[in-house]
Amino acid sequence: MLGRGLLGVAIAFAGYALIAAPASLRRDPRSKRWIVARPELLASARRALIAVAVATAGASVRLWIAFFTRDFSIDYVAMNTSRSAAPWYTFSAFWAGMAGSLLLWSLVLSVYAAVFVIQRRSRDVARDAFVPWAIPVLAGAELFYLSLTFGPENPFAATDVVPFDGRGLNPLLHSPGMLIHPPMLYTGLIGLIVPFAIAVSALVTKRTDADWIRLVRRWTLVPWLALGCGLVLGGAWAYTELGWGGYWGWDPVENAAFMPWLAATAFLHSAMVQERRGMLKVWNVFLVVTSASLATFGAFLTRSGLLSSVHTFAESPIGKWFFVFLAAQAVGGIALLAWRLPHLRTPVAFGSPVSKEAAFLVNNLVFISAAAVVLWGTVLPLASEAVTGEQIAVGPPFFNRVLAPIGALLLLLSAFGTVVPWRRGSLVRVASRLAWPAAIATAVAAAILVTSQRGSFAGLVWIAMLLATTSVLEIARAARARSKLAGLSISGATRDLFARNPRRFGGYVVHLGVAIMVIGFAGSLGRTQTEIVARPGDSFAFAGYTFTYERLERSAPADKDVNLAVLELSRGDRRVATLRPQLNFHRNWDQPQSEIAIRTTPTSDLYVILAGIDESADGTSDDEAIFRIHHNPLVVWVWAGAIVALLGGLIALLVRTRRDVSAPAPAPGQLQRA
Amino acid sequence: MTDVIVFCVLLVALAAFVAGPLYATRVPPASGGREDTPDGTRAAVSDLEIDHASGLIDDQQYGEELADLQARVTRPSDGPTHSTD
Repeated sequence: MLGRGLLGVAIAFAGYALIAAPASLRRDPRSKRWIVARPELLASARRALIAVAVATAGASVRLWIAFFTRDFSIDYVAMNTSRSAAPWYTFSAFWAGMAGSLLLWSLVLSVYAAVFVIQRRSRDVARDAFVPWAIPVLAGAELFYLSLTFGPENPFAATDVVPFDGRGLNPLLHSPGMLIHPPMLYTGLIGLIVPFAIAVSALVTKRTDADWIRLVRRWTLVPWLALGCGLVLGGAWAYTELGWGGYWGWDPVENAAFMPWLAATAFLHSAMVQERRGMLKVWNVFLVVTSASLATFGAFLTRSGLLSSVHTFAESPIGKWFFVFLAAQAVGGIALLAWRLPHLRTPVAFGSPVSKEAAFLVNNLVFISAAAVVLWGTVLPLASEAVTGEQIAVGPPFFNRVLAPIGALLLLLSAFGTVVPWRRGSLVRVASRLAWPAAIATAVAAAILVTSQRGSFAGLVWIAMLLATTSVLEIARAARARSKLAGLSISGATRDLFARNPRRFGGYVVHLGVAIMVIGFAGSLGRTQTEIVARPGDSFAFAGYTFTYERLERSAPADKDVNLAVLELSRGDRRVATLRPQLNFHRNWDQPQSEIAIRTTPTSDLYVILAGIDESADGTSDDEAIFRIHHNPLVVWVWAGAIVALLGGLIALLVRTRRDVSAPAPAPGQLQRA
Repeated sequence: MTDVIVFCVLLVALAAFVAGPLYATRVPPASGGREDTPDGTRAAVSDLEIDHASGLIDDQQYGEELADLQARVTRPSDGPTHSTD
C-alpha cells in the first residue's frame, strides 16, 4: 500500500533527523560549548524534516484519492463516506474518524517542522542556536504521531468484505464549518509544539535572550491565531448543527482547546515584557511549556475515550501512549526549566505598579487562573470518579459563575494596560486617558439599563465598551501624534502606525474584536425559548414575530429521509422571511438529525428546530410538528467580533515592521516644540 | 503497480535529497547571521515616540528610555550559542 509505505518512509526520516541533528554537534572541551562539528550532517537532518513533510503529504494525498475514487476496500473510507457524498464532504471525511484525524495532525506537524527549518536555513549554521536542538524535539513528536498512524490507528487498513457503498459521513459533520474547523484547530494545537521545541533549544543552549523571545513569539502567534479561529468555528458549528441553541457549552473538549489558547495568550503578553524590559524569562519559558503540554493534554482527552463528548472519538488503545508522551513533554520541559533556573533569573526589577509590565504581569496571572479553573472543571469529573467512584458533573453554571468575574477583570486590565506606559506611569495621566472611554461606556450602559432593565447586561456592556473605546481612541491619539510628527494626513499616519508597530496596533484591533464579542456574549443573558406543537395552517406568536406553519415536505434522497417544515415569519402585517427547519433520518447511521433554520439580524437570531413529527401507530400522519424556537440576542456580534479580532491578529502576524524606524529619534523636548 | 512505482520514485528522490549535503563538496556559506537592528527594538523606538508625542510620558522618561533602547542596539550579542554545562 502506497499510503502506509509513505508513512513508513516518513517515520524513517523522522528517526534519522532525531539522531542526526544531535550527532552533528560536538562538545568543545576548552569553551565547554556545543559546536556544530559536522554541518553537513545538520543540513541533512534539516532536509530529513522536509522529507517527512513530503512523505506525510504523499500519504495524505493517497487517502484523499481513496476517498474520491470510493475505494471501499479501505475500511476507513468505507466507514466515513458513501457514493452519494458531495465532493466537499468527501474531502472533509478525511478527518471524520480517529485514524484520519491523526494523519491530518501528523501532516500539520510535519509542515510546521519543515517550514521552521526552511525559514531558518539562511542562518549561519554554526551560530543558529535553535535549529540543532529543535530538530530532535520536532522529529520526536513526529515520530510519536506518525507511529500511531502507522500502527494502531492505520487509516489504510483493508476491509474484510468490500461493500458496494460506504456508510457515509457522520450526519453531525455535514456542515460547511467542518471543512475548516478541524484543520484550523489542529493547526493551533499541534503548532504549539514549535515554540516548545524552540524553548527546549533555548534552555539547552542558555539562549533565552532577545533572539529567542522574538522567534518564539512569532511561532506562537501563528498557532494562537489558528486556535482562536478553530475555537470560534467550533462554536459556529455547535450553534448551527447541534441544535441546543447555544455556541459554547463548556464541553470538556472545547475546554481542552481553550486552555492552551489561554496560556498562549498569556505568553503573547508576557513576551512583550521580556522583549521590552528583559524580565519574566522563567515565566515565559514556563508558559511556552504549559501551552504545548495543555495542547497535548487536549489531544489526550479527545482521543483516549476518558471523557464523553460530541467531539471525542470512540475509546481507543492509544490513550496510554498519549499519556506517556504528555508526561515526557510536561515533566521534561519543567525539569529542563528547573535545571536552567539559575541562568534565567534577571536582575531587572519592576519600577512601578503603574506600568505596562505590572499590568501585563497581573493580566498573566489572571489568564493562568482562568486556565486553572477550566482545567479543574474539566478534570474534576475524572478525579472524583477515580477517588470516590462517582462522577461529579461540572456544568456551565460552575464555569459561568467562576469565569465571568475573571473575564471582567481581564477586560478591565486590558483597558488599563492599553493606556499605561512602560516602566512608570502617572496615575493622573492614565486616569485622564481613561476618562473619555469611561464616559462613553457609562452613557451607553445607562441607556441600555433604562431600556432593558437588566443590570448584569448593562454592566457587561460597560466593560466591553470601555475596552472598545479605549482601543479606538488610543489608535486615534497615536495617529494624531504620528501625523504631527511626520506631517502626514490622519489616514496616512494611521497606515504608518500599523506599518511601524503592527504588533501594538494589531493588538488594539484584537482588543476591539474581543470587546465586540463580549457584547455578543452579554446578549446570551437575554435568551428566551419556547416549544410549540402545531399543525399545518396554525399560527403562533413568539419574540414579537408571528410564525405560520404552512406545510411539511417529505422526500427521500439516497441516504436519508427528509422532513422539511415551511414556516412563514411575519412582523405585524409584513412578511419578513420563510424558515425551513428539517428533521432528517440518516438510514446508514440509524439516527435522526435536525437541520436548524436561523434568521439573523444585527440585534437577534431566531433559531428554529423541528424537534419532532407526530406519527400515529399505523404510520399515518397529519403532519403535526413540534418546534423549539430560541430568541438569541446579539449572536451575530460574536461572529463579527471574531472577524475583527482575526484581522488584528493577522496585522500583528503578517505586517512587517517598517525598516526606516531606526532613523535617529528626536531628542527630548524637540517633539513638544514641533 | 502504479503505487509501487510512485513509492519507489518518491523514496529514491527523498533519500537523495536528504543525503545530498553529506556528499556535497562544499557546505553552503554562512549568511549574515544576526539582523542589524532587530524589529523589536525598531518597534519599541516607534512606540516611545508615539507615547511621548501623545503626552503619555514626559521628556525625562522619553530620554531615559531612548538611551536604554539605543544602548541595547549597540550592546554586543549574548555570544555564540551552544554553551551548556
